[in-house]
Amino acid sequence: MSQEKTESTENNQITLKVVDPQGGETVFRIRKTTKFTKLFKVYCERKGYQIGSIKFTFDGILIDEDQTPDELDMEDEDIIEAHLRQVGGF
Amino acid sequence: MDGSFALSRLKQERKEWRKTHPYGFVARPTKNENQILDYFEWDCIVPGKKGTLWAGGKFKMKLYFPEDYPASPPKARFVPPLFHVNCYPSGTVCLSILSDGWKPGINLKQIMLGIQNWFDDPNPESPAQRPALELFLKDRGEYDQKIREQTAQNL
Repeated sequence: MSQEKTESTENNQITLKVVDPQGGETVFRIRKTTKFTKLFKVYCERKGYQIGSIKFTFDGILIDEDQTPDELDMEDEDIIEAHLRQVGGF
Repeated sequence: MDGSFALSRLKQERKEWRKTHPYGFVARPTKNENQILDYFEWDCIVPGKKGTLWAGGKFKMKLYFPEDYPASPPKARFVPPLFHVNCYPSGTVCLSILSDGWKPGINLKQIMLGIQNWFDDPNPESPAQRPALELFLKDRGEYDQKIREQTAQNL
């Protein structure tokens, strides 16, 4: 029983890697149905960036903070790129 | 040859790419009108390399994989075509690893990094377009200036 429960919890979670231009990698484990707002906020806090100064992209496309990993068909260990806003052009 | 071997390899390449692609590079299969992935035609972005005249640029490219891939290499085509000694007027990249230097073991990351290196490595021995070749041979400074302008148009 308990094992089953663990599995279903695991299936609902996803590991994502946020990569910066310097090659730094920050790993997050979040629920597939959690909006990105939270991840973006935690990332910026940890890295000392102002929230909103970083754009996040997946497959070259901007991620909206209201989207979820499920909505973007993300898989375990997928890469999210962090871009400084003034550098961007996406 | 029905392309099923090619398809499984392409799916594997995509899976690997999602988890390990280098920063700033994009490569994803296109979707048809029914939102079905077409693994034989990919939309890509190749960023210019730091420390070169191409730095800061993001160049849009298509990759077309043949049915007998990986026996044959993909074709890489910039849209719009690039001003580059070794870019055909159609936008197709002229690069050894995508022709007679191709090996089936070459993976997507190696192709993409090879094309990024190709930007700043013009080879007048094997020209693919006249305007870039003529300027390159006549005035290297002017050629470089054209490259800078092209980068500025692709930020």
